[in-house]
Amino acid sequence: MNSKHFFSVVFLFLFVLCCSASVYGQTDIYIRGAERLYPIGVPQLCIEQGQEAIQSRRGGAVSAPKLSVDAATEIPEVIARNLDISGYFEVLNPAVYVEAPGKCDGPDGVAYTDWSVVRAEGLVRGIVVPVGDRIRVRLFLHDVPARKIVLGKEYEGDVGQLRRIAHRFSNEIMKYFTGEFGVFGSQISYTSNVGRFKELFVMEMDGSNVRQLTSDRGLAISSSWHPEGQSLIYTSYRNRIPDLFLIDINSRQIRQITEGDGLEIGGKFSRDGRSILSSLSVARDSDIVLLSPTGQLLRKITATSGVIDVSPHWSPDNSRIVFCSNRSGGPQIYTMNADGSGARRVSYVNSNYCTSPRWSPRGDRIAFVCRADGGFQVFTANPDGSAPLQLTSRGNNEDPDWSPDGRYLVFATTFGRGRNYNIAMIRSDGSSLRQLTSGQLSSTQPSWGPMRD
Amino acid sequence: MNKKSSYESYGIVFSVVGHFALGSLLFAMEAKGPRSFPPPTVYSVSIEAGQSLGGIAQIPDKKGKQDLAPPKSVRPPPPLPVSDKEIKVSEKPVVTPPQPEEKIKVAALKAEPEKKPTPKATPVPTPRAASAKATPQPSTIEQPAKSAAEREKEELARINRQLEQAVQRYRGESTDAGGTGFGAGSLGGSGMGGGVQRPPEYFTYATILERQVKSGWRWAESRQDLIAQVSFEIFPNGVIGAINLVRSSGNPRFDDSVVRAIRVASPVPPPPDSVYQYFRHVRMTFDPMD
Repeated sequence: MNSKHFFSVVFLFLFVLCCSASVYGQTDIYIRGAERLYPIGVPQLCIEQGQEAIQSRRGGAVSAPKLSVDAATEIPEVIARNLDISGYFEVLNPAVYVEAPGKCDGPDGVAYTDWSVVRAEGLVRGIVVPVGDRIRVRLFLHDVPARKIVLGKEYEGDVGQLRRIAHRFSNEIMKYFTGEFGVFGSQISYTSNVGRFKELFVMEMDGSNVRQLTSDRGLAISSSWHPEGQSLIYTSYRNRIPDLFLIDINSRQIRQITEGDGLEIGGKFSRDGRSILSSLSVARDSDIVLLSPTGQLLRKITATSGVIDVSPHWSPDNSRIVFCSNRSGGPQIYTMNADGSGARRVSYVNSNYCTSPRWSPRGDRIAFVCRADGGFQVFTANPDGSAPLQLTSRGNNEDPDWSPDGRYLVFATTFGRGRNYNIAMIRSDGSSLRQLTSGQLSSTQPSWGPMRD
Repeated sequence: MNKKSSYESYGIVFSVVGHFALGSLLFAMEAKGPRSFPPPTVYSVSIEAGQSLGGIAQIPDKKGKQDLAPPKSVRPPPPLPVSDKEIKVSEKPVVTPPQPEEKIKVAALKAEPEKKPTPKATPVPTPRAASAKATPQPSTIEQPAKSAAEREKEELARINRQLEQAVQRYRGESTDAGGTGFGAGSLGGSGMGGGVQRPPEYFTYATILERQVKSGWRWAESRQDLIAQVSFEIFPNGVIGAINLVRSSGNPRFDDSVVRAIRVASPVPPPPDSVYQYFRHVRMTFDPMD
């Protein structure tokens, strides 16, 4: 009898033990693929002076100085455009903005709950204070889920600096969300057809502020930036044979670098600006050469006769060179040491024609163009040729160049508006393609300038 | 007579020892199973179709086919306002060098004034309603016409059968309990964590949870080989607490993004009582590759 009790107690104990064990289950859930864009609101700035919010920049009854009104509208517009082309943000439609535009209730008066209903991750707000004929702008970045201000900056400037202020703060926003500063405010040079000539142009990264640099009335092509960002090296046929020239982007002064004998096409400054990588064609032969900034031939890097080696470009540390060569038949991409040794093929993408290599400033990828999908397409690959990635697949896409941060590529494309070539940019993973030029002129050979200040 | 009772007691002792051994073995495995973290291999199991009952889709490992990107659709943005007229270049430098003053407003970064912890508006009630509908409680089938109740019962049985099969497939090929690879189940013995049948609400709610967290998780780079794992607790009212990074990706920003995703998701719809036990402790694995 006693023992029976004992056993039933043991059984009960075991039973409970087993049950409780299974109750302790923990559920595993696997989440694959995040949302890739950060929703962000960039409403109008407010003007501090006790006035009512600006209703419209055209509305007559505005008492604030015009500069402040412009700033309150233009700065957020430029920031919004920057964040949109960055490919990292979804700029929320102003129609969902939950607050009155230009509302000026200080940085603390933010209805975070309302902003989180529209799923905003970030919110840019700011105050414009007129200071004589200048303005002071205070900009704040709010982290909406965290419900706090995570960045505050104050800028002072005049009418010419609204865009710069916007670029600087946009770069700060990129830093907060992606861990790295953006490259807003950097410039892109390119070649456009003007009548039957090709001339050099420069624009801002977002496609605005286009300026024509040359009026050579010839072919001005293959521009590439000096590392200091104030001048461009380019190839011009102004003397009927191609030579290298240097043009100052502000004064537009031109200095001839090479003269005479061979045909130099395309120059690339080294990091320190003390040498120029180019290709020199003599007869039916083309070799990679190193020139001094004044055009003297320092040395030949490749010298195989009967082989065409062209389009050299430096690795970021200048220890290696990527170039295009027909040494194994059709043109393909190769890397070699800066002294010409150790050449290795990079382009293994099943194409018989590859050209225009560019080494990423991060060093980890090489971009190039190959004939594929019925046109020319942009590819990237690791410097050893592994992990190739095709970024474009429609129309013709040529002349890629990297952004200074290595996150984007700019290139010339026929895809898009009209039949002309346009300049477009794309994130290096192949997402977020943005057309930068308007398609009225055929534009090719973009070169992305260094980041300034 | 005496002999018989002694046989009886031998039998009982044998049975007790046997049960005890078996029970403690099971307990040991059960206790070990869900608590130890799985081997670094990662499997994907989509339970998206759980809501429609019976469909448990296996997502094939996509990592192999990432070499060449699929054609990207190219959407030209609206034309930029570049005038097609002569573009005048002014002779003087266009960019004036004066540096705008820039200083970090420390004052502005002071701690946020105390915000009342506004309880966020109660989230999406719809999925909860749907789950309640999808799983009729037995008590509600008592009253109405018998035939209807019976039909419903049959339907329920059929659904349960499908579900069992689905669970079987799930177990066999994948790894809920920590097997070693796809197809390991067919070799036998990959499931170590007890054969607990999960009710339909389990899958419905897991899907709700997955969707809610995923929709608020933001990470801009898709081609990165990062995995992070977070464990947390769901309270009966749906509030998430005890968030804990149990496996770091090695990238602090990525780790932050997944913890933030869980925070943003809270509160989630309260788990149905019938399956609350499963969702009290949840472990989520985050993989940015899509």
